[in-house]
Amino acid sequence: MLMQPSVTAPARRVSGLAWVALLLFTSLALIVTGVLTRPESGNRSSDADLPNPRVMARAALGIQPITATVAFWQTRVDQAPNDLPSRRLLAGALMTQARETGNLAGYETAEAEYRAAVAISPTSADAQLGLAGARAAQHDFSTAADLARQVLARDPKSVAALISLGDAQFELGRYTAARATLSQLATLLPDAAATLSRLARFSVLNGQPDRAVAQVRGALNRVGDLDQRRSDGAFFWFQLASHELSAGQPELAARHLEQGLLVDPVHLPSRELLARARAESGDLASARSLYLQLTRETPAADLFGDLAKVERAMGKRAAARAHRAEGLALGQSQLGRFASERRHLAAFFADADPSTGLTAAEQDYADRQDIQSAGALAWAEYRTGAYDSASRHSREALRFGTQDAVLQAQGGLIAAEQGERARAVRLLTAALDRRPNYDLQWAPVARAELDRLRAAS
Amino acid sequence: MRKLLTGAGVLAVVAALSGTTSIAFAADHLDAPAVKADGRTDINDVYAFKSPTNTSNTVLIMTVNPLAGTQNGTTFHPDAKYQFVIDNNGDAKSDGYITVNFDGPSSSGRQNLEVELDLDSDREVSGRTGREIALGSGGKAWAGVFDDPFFFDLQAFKDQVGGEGGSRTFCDSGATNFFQGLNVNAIAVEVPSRWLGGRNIGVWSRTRIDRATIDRMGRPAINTVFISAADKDAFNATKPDADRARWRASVVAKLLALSGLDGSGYDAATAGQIADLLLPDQLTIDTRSGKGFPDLNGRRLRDDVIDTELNIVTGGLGVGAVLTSDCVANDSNFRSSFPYLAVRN
Repeated sequence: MLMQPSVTAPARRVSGLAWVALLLFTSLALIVTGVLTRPESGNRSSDADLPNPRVMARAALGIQPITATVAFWQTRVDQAPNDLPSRRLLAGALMTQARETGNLAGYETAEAEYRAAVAISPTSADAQLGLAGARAAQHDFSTAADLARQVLARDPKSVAALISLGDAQFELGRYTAARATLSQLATLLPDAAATLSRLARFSVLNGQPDRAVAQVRGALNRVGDLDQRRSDGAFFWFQLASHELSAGQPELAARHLEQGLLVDPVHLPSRELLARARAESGDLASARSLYLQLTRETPAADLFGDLAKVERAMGKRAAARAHRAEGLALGQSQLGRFASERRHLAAFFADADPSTGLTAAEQDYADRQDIQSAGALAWAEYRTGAYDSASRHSREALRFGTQDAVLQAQGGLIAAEQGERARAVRLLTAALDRRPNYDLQWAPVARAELDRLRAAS
Repeated sequence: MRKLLTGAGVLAVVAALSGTTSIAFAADHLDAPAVKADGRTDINDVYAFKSPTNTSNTVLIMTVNPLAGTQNGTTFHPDAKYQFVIDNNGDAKSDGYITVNFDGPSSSGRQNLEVELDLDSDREVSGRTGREIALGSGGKAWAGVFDDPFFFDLQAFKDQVGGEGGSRTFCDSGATNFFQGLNVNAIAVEVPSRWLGGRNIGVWSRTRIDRATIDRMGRPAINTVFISAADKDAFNATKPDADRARWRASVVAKLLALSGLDGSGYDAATAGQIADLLLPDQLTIDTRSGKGFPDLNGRRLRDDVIDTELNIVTGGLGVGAVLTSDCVANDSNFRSSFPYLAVRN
């Protein structure tokens, strides 16, 4: 039976577009100004330098469940509607609730509270930046950037505004501006987790995945002692694992995700990424189990798509067909509802219904021109036979030298279609060397194409 | 008030991006960047008063961890030292300490703790959070979660003084104690006054990790009101005996600005005298006197420090106060016996 698609959708996510919302809303911990508790280490085989997740979990003892926090502040707001601090805290709690439950509609509720806060105190930086966060969570990065600029006009050294603006610029693909903003942030908070997390994103962009891993290890070290919410603590493990998976280390990523799940056993993004890491490691049964659990909890089309790919790889073709169909129905109902799901839907539909995938990718690219949007559009164009524009957008996605295996593999297949043999071999080789199982459906295709190209030489 | 004004910069990150601790402008909560990330080392308020139950004793209380349980956890930091520092000869230097250290929390959140008395009578006593610990000679300690004793109309302050653009003013029909119903972690200590080394003493609290001071506080509102956002961590790192040399100019400038809101503020000489009264940042108390903060004698739990400080900083000492009250009264049901704080909400 299909879940009601219009109500909820996952807030997570694993891919690039996840970062801004996740980073934004865990910034409580990110703003630490440098109580460095452990040395930074580039030794990725040892966890001795990383915080103890059980200690992280205990630091959060006593923090009430988010539903209780929402109820507490809602009561306060009901009693005193013009109480701005209570309303902001209510809005923040609603943001946390949306993040923890995966209910994207929750961001709209939070936004309404932030808008009410701005109406109460129009020049409150807290209210404006809260609203910026709510818009960013819904992937309206232009509005988020505008709000941040308004705050910066009054307070040029506002760290909060710099974070909001820089994240929005990055998501919009305005990398030069984003780097300039990050430079200002780094001046104010040189060794803070907030800065390191964002530097890591640029390292990924510029094709330095190992450096990115070292940077997010540093970020995790800097927040390991905080009395943060469990979901915030787990985020930093998720962040590390995400970079490790991108760097081609699925087993290490899985280990660190399990550490994060000791901090917050229900952390949605961690469980989704763990399913992907398990699939890439070849542990298909475990991956399927995780995907089945996730799809019961959060109705996301692409999760059904990933589940179907695992099942197809396991030979469970009937189950795969059923879950793919379920994903298609969900995806159709969600198109146009949640902008933050658009890129996931573009990728899902590129496999399942390419013309629909192309429409979603074009919409996403119209809003922002970051490398992931360009890559998603390139792949959707490839899948619909628009090879010239696919080639153009693939080059755009890879222009900074990112080592993202998905973008590289897709770029390799597009190049092969265009007859660009050398480029195709280079990209496919790089992608498959790093992540041989980057996609259970397409990795075998990419490998076959690479073999064909090599044989033809 | 504790530290009423805080810098917009890093504070706003907390408020805007996590939405979890945006009471920042209210009190000493989250008064400086280094304390913002972890409420456990963030001192909210410090109290010092003659014991209501034993006139030979003095009570010292520090509250930390704003919004405990609602936004933050309810434990003490296991790597931090929580200290009451005693100056018993008026030089603003430490002559004695009461230090409380905590182990990591159990799965239930309870913590073992150790109270170290480095006073005229030195001793170490072990105990556990959530219950009274005997220190000998009638001394006692208690660490745990309590109702936040602070009371203040935060929003009216933000609108009327903080310039946030809202319409609330002190004493309007919407007067609200923002802190009603909220909890904090607190450490309460009652000791024989003679242990403190003198009848007239100065007291301040500090939290330290790895020998670095994370937060310190004496009188309410000094750091928050008088110190700029960029200097708040530096203020916390300053020892009180250097306060006048380092921060007097900042306090004078703020006094001139705030008292002059009605066009008839303090002159520079008067502002300087008040600055010398407020600095160094410590609660001065005659331990034999039952008076409280309105008489600048320590601070009792029930004292309306907001009203007192609004008067002082806005001209009440001679030129007519611009603001005299926030019209918010204490709502806590303080206990008549140790630890005196109200039970948690």
